[in-house]
Formats: sequence, structure tokens, C-alpha cells
Amino acid sequence: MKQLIALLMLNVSWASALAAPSKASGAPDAIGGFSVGVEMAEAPLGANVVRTSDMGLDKWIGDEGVFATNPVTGSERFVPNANAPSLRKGPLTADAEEHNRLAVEYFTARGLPSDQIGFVQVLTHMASDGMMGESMQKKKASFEGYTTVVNRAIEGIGVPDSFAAIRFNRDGMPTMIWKYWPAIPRNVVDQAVALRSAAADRGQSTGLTARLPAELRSAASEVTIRHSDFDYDTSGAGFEAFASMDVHQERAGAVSRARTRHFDINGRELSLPNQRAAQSAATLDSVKSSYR
Amino acid sequence: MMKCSSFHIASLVVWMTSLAGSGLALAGRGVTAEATDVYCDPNGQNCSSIICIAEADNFRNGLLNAPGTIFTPGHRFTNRSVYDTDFVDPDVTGHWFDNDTWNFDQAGNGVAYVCLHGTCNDTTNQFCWSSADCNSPGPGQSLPGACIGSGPPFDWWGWCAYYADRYMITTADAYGNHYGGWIDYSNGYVKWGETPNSGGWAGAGTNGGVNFGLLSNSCGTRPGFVQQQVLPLFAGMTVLGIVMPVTPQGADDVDAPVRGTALSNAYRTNPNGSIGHAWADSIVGIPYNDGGSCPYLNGNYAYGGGRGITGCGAQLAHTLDEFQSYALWDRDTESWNQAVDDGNDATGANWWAAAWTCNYDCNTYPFTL
Repeated sequence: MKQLIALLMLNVSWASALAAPSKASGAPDAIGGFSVGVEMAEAPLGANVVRTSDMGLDKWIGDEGVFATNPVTGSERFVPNANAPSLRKGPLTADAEEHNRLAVEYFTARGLPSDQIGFVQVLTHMASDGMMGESMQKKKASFEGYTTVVNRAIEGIGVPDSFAAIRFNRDGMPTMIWKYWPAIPRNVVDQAVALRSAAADRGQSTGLTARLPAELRSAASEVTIRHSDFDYDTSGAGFEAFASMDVHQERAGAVSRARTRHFDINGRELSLPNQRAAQSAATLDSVKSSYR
Repeated sequence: MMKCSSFHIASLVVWMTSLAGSGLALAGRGVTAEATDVYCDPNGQNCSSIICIAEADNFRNGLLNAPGTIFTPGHRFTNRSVYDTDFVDPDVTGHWFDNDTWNFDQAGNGVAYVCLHGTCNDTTNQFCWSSADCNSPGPGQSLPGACIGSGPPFDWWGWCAYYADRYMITTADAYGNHYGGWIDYSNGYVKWGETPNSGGWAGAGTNGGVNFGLLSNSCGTRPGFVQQQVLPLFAGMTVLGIVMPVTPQGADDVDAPVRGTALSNAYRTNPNGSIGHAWADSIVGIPYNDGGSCPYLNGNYAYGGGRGITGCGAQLAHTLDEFQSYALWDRDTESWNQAVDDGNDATGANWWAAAWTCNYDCNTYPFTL
């Protein structure tokens, strides 16, 4: 409540709030990203919208939800309040293809470059409840809605860390929007194209494979462009991007865990900032209680 | 705001009056993380590694480092400091060495994330058309069986899975282990969230703290057995977030450090958003190729998959509370700001609710046949 009062005291009008953030930008030769922008998002924020800076994000806060833009990374996300009426409306459609079509239409109308659409994936939100002793298996789950994720590709090469996702309710209003589609340096795209060519060339491909760890030489792989995640500003690191041979290391045995590993054209393993252990006082282990 | 009935309000007044004299805290603002990357045998040999610490840290740091955050540092334990006993309730077991009380479930730490190995010993290669076909559990498994659909696009047949207790597994050479590093959370010995407000559940006392518990491990739970496997964890905790691989042929949780970032980003964006939905929807922020495709575990994502799970799967938010309205409130309405308030604790074990987001079309292709 204190936070809300402080926000209201800022007395920022909805009109001025709509004077929106700058578009994401990159180096002149970068492959461009795009921005939805609160003024175009049609997110059901409810009444009394105020614009503020909060938790390092530029936010438009209404009675029913928040649209936030990260001024450093350019990511955008709309999260309704948990009690928002828009969440109680039910799904727009049970036709996944239709939801996907509307999602692509939504984003392309707001600047998503259609030549950067890789593939479209549908996720499904479901719910159930029951008395103690009843099992989920015996009850028909309630279909709450689809989420469409538009995945990115540049020159046909996947960019797994970029995405534009949306879920519509029965009224056609977004009940979640999440987009991270940063500009990618041209030289990284060029490196990825070269890596793809090497992987496709029978002679060079053998060399590429030979440079991988032995246990991964027959694993499924794909050439990608990898980059920092939507919250890289919190890690203290700058934006990073690189061309990668992504290799799927599958689970080995009952007690194991699969992962996707990243290699450059020389077989050197690479990592994204969020895969590295953070170095800060917050990441020192606690002292175990002497109670033991 | 909190979930309320007149009984609740009256109880709260009485309880707050008693707290005034006891000095007990109402808030559980602490954030705990336990995670193991390096796994060795009991002698510290034959080690292998996964990426779990970054996942848990990305979540914990995301909550703690947000300017103006309501959260405070709880425990952080990694690798050999993650003991199997950290998760087990001594009031239930009667063992002096069990100690969730001062570790994962410590009072005052309302949000806690654990990332460890698990085991996928509940699956088989038994082909099935319906769950009635699943009558031959293997070693370590028991009836009932469930026929888990093979996933899109051929979902009219499947593979049998059988009931098996679920485990978190820390490294076998952790300093304080008493169970060889294996933590059975389906047997009723692991109880999270018991406070004076929730009352003592299943003999677990009133000395816990977890309101929002997150568990990322291999085969955390399986469709067909979810309630049997995860309800024993509850003792006042309102929401459990867990990863649920679906298809038995290799689907599993994978190394996905972004999972922690995606979840904390939901708080950073809107502290009044639902914590249950935040967990389920954090799957959106995980790269499509963190994990193989659904259902064949390869690089063709035409039917989905990936996003922190290899194969077909989901992120599941589960609740258990006294009344249906409470369980639904916990699932859909409890926000980050409310999750730190022990006044919202679950007060009984009568009704469960669950919400999940699948990495494929699990409406058209249901989990079980």
C-alpha cells in the first residue's frame, strides 16, 4: 500500500505515461530488434495507470496489472495482478493454430520483423482441483488457455534466447505478454553463417565433430546464435552474443540430467552469463547452524 | 490483502495478540537456495557435474538484488553443504540429525528454491493403450500404473509408468548426510511450511517457514501420481512449484539456469502477480532448445518440447489447503507480496489445486490414457 501511495504521489498522468520508452537500438550494422511499447500493447492495465521506475524497470502500473520495460536489456513484460478480472475470462480459443495466427499477427503489427520469425510454439495452461484422496488423473483438467511463443531466426539460424510470447483471453485481450528480441551484432550473425556452412560441409563437419568432447560426437546438434538473457542487467555483465554449435547432451542413466552445451567453430566450450556462478557477497554459502 | 473468512479473521486477532507477547515474526521475507553442481561418491571420487547452483542463484539473486525488494537473504547452501538432512523434519522422524528447522524450512524464510538431481525410476518400456494395461510394476515400483500418452502426434497409445516415491539427490559426500544423499519427499518425512498460523501438520511441529517452495529436479513428479507424490510435502506451505516431465521415454528436467531468472523476473515486473502462475509461466522465458523436442527428444520442435524440459512436460504449481476456496486462492491469487505473510499459510489438508503450463499442446494431447 505504501508503494502505491508513493506512486500516486508522482501524479504522472496516463497521457504522459504513454509518451513511452525509446525503441531498442543497437550498433548501425546490427540485426534489429523491436519493441512492442505500452501504447501499442493493449494490455489490460485497468484504471489509474501511473508511470514510474521501480526495481530497475520502467513500469506502467494500473489497478489490474503492470507493463514493464527493462531500460538496459529492452525486454518487455506484462503481468496482470493476481486478482485481475482479465484472468477470469477463460481462453480465446481451443484452436492452437488460430491462437498462433493471432499472436503472429499481433506482434508483426507491432514491429516484429517477419523475416526473423523462426518457428511458432504453442504452450498450454491447464488447471485442476479436487478433494484430498481424489487424483488429478481422475478429473478432467480445465483448459485455461494457450500461450504462443514466436521464436526467432536470423538468416535461418535459430536464436533461442529471443522470444515474443502472448496469451489472449476470451475477449481477445492479452493476459500475458513477454518479449525479448534484442539487436544482434552483424559479426555474430556472420560467424553463425560460417559455422553453419562448416557444419553442412561434409569435410569440415567431420573436423567440427572431432573437436567436440567424445561423448557428444553423435549427439543431436544445431547451429544457433546465443545471447544474454532478458535480465542480464542484474548480473553486472554487459550484453554478450556468440555463434554456437548447440549440442544436446542427453541424460545418462536414471540419476542424471540433460543439458544443452555451446561450442564455437574450434570446439571451444562457451557459456552464457546466466550459466556462470555469480560472484558477489550474496553468493557465499551460509554457515551451517551449530544446532546440529 | 489475504485470504479471509470470519473464522480466519477472528483467529488472526487471537494469534496476533499472542504474538505480541511472544516476539514471533509474521513475515517470511527470507529467500533460501540450496543447490548442488558437483556430484561425487561418498569418498569424494568419480565426480560429475550439472548446472543447478546458477539456476537457484539466479532466482535468489533476482529477488534480493531488485532495488526496493521486500526480500532478505535466507540461507544459501551449495554442493557439499547441501545435506540430505536439510530437508527432513525432525519432529516427524524423531531423528536428532534431521534438521529442516534450521536449514531449508527455517522460520522467517518464506521462499525457498532447491535444485538437485532426482531419479526417473518410475518409467518402463511397457507399451499401453490405457491405464488398465499397466499391471506389471518393475523393481522399486508399485501399483497403480498409469498409461502416459506418447505425446503428439500419435497420442492414442503410450508407455506405462508406475508409482514410485520421488527423490531429491544431493552429492553423496556432503558433510552431514545421513541418507546417502537421497531425500524421499513422498514418504511424509519432508514437511514444509509449518508455522503457528498453519498449526502443526502430521506431527511436524510449528517451526517451519516455507510458503512458496520451488523444486527443480529430475522427474519431480509424474502425471497419474502427482497427489500421492507431492502432497506429503505440505505442512502449511501454500504453493509448491515443481517440474513435471510427462512422456516416460526420456522426458526430464534439464539444466536451465534461466528458469531461476524467469521466475524472479515475474516478481520484479509485478509483485502483485500470482506466484503460482509465475512458476508455471516461467517456462516461457527458457530457450526453446534447453531440452530436446516433444516427444522424440531431437531438434525438431514442431510439436513443442524444450524450454527447460527435454521431451514433453510442464511446470506445475500445486497447493493444498483447508477449503476449496483457499486452495484456489493459493493457486491463482496469492501474490509475491502475500507470499511473505505467514498469515496466509495453508491451514488444513482437505483440498488441493494445481495449475501447469506444458511445453506442448497438452489440451489436445492429454497426459494419461
